[in-house]
Amino acid sequence: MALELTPCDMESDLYVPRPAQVVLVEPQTSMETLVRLRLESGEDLGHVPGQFVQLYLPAIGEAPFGLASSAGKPDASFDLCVRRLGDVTGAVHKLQPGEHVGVRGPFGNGFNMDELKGFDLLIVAGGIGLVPLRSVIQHLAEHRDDFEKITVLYGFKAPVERLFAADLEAWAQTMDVRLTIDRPHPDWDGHVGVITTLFPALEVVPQRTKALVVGPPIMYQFVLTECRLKGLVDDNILMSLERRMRCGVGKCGHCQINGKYVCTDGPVFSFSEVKHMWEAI
Amino acid sequence: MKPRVAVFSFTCCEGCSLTILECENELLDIVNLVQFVRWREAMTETSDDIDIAFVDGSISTHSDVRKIKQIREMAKLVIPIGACAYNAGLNALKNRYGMGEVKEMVYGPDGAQFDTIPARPVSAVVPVDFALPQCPIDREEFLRTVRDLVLGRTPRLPDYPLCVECKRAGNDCVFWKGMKCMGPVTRAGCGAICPSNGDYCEGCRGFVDHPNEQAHQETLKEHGLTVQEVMNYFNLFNSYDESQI
Amino acid sequence: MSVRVIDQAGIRQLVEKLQQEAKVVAPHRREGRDQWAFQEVTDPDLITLEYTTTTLPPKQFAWPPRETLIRARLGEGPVQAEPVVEVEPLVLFGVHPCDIYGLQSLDIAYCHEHVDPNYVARRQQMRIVGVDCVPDEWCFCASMGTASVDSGYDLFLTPLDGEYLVEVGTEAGEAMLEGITTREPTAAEIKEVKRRLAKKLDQDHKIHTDYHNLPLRFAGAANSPVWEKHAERCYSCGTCVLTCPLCMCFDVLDEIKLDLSETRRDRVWDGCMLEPFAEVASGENFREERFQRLRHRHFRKYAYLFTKFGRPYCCGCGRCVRQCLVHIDPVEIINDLLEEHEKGGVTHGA
Repeated sequence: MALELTPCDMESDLYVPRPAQVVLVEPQTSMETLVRLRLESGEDLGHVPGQFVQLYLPAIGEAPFGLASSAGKPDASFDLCVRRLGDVTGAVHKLQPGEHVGVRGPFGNGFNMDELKGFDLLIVAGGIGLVPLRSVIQHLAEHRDDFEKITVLYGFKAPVERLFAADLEAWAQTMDVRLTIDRPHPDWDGHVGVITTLFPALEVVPQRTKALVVGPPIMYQFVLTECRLKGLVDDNILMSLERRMRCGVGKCGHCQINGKYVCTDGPVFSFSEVKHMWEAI
Repeated sequence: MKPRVAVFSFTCCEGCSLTILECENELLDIVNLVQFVRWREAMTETSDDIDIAFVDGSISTHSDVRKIKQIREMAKLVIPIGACAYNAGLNALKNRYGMGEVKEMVYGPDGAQFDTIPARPVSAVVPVDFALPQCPIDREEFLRTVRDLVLGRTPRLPDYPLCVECKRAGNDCVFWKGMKCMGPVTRAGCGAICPSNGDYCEGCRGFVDHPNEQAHQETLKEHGLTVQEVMNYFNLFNSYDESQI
Repeated sequence: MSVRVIDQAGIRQLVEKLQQEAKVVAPHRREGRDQWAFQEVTDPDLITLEYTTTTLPPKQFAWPPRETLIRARLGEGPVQAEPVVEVEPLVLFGVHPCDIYGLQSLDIAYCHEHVDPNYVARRQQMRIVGVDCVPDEWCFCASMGTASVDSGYDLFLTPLDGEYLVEVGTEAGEAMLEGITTREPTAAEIKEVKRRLAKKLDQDHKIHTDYHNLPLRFAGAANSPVWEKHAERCYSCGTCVLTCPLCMCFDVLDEIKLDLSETRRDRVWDGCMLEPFAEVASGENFREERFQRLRHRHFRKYAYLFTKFGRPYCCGCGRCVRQCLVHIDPVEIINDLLEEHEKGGVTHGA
């Protein structure tokens, strides 16, 4: 028996990247570079903070990247920030303004910004965990009045690894931004210690606080403990997970963690969901 | 600047370098991607200025050892090709005997004058950048490797057993036809060429990174092989053992 | 929908008629231990409608082992990628109930949230003629509720003595029978369907619970020693997932032409039992151990996808254990878990 579908169900372009162009390339550190893109059609990507795209370089391949900017920029551009790790990321580091790439997405659930309204927000970023959170923080900065107290904690290994230096300064105008590096360094006179050492000095009203946590796997268990110690319930601790993805649309099976697909059920999960997923962190 | 490519041969039948020469339909595309600068089997010119050295054959004489070390110094990338270079392949079968015994067995009483040492893969003597297994190499895999190196993509070998490619090809398991097969522990990448053509897998691509050897010995026994026969299946292409060197 | 009886000559007539409209694929006997495969029909007399199980399930015709998804020119200018779908009208002739259930389950997964264009294009041009079977010692369809199906076919054949009862499932099926010599069935012949089913449900190879209980039973089974016990002899060769009618994971490969003029993106059958499946860019492997992969596969079939789509993602066809050289059997695994549960020896969660 043949499968019957209405024409509107069809997604004939599901696996076809949309043409996009590099607008700006801005190296952040020796390992990470920011690439600003725009769809060649001029359309806005129309994403929510925390979503991701599949970036396609025809002569190399395709890989998923978290969006690093908020939606609705006047020039319809969007940012990715890429750590050099494999073939696609290596090639991204060689991109120049004006070059052509392909983009699929945006995919994934992203952070539900409406549900964050009226809450104090505690944003905890470890290393390149700041990349997807930048899309959130930009959104918050652009709609500052919709949200209550915002605290950004950002930990990185050494001063040369700091991402988005100018952004951090700008955000500090309207948010409580606290930085820390793992070990003392001659070029650093700020806070020293792993990110959890920033927690004791925080004043948190647990009933009206949501935490957004993104960082390396090792960071989660310690930060989650700190969040719970501050009295946050697991529903109010949100995190973004990463896995190898092939399709980005819930078909290929690669990004599955227990019963969840990171690409379609995530990448944003609450700790209430994650704590039942023994493969997660 | 096109990468400068050389092909060298050590102890082997040179079937792997011949496989490159036989890429007749693709040779024009290949020479658009790379420049061959040294290849005894195919050209008279020679050069020491080398980006990529493809090497077939095992290292099995003292002079082989010296030569491969020179190649390592000349070339930016050294890539062993074929079972002999990849894991010493069939050549390693001699390693279980004393070298004096081997020489006498092959050449008789005059054998003593020959220079021979236990056969080893290229990687046992010099660091290598990538390696292509199989006896002889798979044409398509070689072509993809050249293309990937030129484009800046990291060439990769599959790390799953041959059974995957057998199933994708729609083959019935050769065990059900009464044959014995090394497919379940052998690295895929040949497209299951032997089982797809009525034969069984001898394991010429070497093992996957974590073969379940114990399970496969049990399987072979269950299908009627003696312990010695099981060892023969395992050893044909995969007998190289560092401790015998 | 009507019910008719068709004889061997009628079957031949039917196949020849279908061949004029579409490629017809049917089970054929192959060399060796009982082996069958779906192959294109060249001579209707070579079809074997009475067979146990094919090596590969019919999913290969909706989702081939390798297919191109997109193609793009390389060179200057914007990236212009175009979708590629290769599809032809097809009749699957002689499909068992378990395999029909398999295709229906893939339909659900491939249309969930995002509709997969390549899979759907093929399924839209596919007609299915089912046929009833006699289970062998590896089948466990009775345990999975898939010994019979009441939809998913255009026609369904039940062997009678030298003839077949034909149940029409769709209007397309009705049209298939137009001009084909058939006759009215007798009351006894209609009863034969029920008699066969009753006989078929009596299987020794069975799980010791109602399959609806499985998600609940699995909920406490994450840390069970059962996984390591059964995974110890696993090759991680992927035979079980590749021959499974309901496994659907894939990898993608970017194949660039050697003259660098064009590239295409292919997908190939992949599976969670293969060692590199859950490896990420940094090199970390989230299912490094054999038992973790075996556990994931079984949780997917009997818990995750069951809960998500409301049906087990196993049709009890037995291909996994029939093809497994080391005899890893989901029925044994499930029964071990059930036994362990009975003894109360199960620990919860992570």
